[in-house]
Amino acid sequence: MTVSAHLKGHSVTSPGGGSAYTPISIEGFDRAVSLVEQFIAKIRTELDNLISRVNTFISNAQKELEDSWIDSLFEFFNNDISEGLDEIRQLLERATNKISELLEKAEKSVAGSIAVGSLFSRALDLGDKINRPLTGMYGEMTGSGEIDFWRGPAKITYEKRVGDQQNALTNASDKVESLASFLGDAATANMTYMADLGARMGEVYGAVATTCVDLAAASAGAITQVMEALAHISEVIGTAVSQVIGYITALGARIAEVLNQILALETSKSDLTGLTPDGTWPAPVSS
Amino acid sequence: MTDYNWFSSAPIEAATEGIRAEAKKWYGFADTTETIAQQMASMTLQPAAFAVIDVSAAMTTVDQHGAYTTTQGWLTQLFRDAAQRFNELGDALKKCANEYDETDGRSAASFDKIAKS
Repeated sequence: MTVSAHLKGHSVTSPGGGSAYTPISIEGFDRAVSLVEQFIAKIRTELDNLISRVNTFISNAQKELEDSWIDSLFEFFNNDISEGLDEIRQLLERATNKISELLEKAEKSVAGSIAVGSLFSRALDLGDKINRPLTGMYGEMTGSGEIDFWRGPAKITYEKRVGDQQNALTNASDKVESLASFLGDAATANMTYMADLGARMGEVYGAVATTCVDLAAASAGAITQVMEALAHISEVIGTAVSQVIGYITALGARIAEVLNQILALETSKSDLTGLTPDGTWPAPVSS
Repeated sequence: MTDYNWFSSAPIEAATEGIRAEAKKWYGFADTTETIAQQMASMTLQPAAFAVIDVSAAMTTVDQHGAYTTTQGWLTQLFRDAAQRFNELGDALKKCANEYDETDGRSAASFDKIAKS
């Protein structure tokens, strides 16, 4: 493949030019969101299958149970079977509740993710549309050529004032970089969460699908087998769901993380080197 | 080799042309910085942009959005200040060039005094 083919779809220009490069990784976030959306749909379908198969199984088992009521010799065992079917119903309800909770969180996350790409694109814009033209002026501020014929104290003062403007520009550029990092950190946390959510949704989908296959093969009398399958799925889903929910509701850690990000930004802003004590741009003419 | 005479007519003429070119350069910086300020002002973000992870914790979303918006606003104002300062520097240089034209490059006035004249 040629280099131009590799770069197709991505504008690459000189550092002094306009927007340089749109990272392919930004599309990765959209893919992560899309993956979660697909899993939401798939899990819903498989959950319907699971409920349908468990109900069919219970219906068949109950039919056998009713038939066997005729024979009082089996009454004792019939009670066992009846209790087993109740437990199956409870296990199914537990699994359904956990899956519903996960689907609800996933749907909210996906619905809220539409604007997240803007964190990345804003961070890129800060470099491209602000820092690039800003820092591009620094070198040009130091004049040379005919201006070198200027001699005297006024020229010396002018050169010092140019130095002041350059120092202010350097400081402002640092602030722009800090703001871009702040957005990058916020976006990274959201990206990690979405990727993690996709992985957990995949686990749940796999567990539900496998259980559906197992149930399809279970005969009406295989109550213990069905109970074990549902207990297993409940366990797998429970772990996945608690990890996802835990990630969202680990509020203390999340607040600390956000406060640290804000602290880093504010600490950067408190450095006024090159600016006036009240954080404004230095005047080139002394009052 | 004799010392270069900085105050003969040719170098003074070159100096004033150089100073006027320098003034034009700073007016150009002012225009660039005004554009930067406008770009900065347009870079708003909705609170929802920070919200994916915070479906159950709106507090951090508000803080993150607030920190961004405050900094964005401060930088916008800083760049507007800078554009104004660069224009002032351009004006000061123009006055310096005029002063040297009028005094054959021998003005004893300081940069600040000329700029405020």
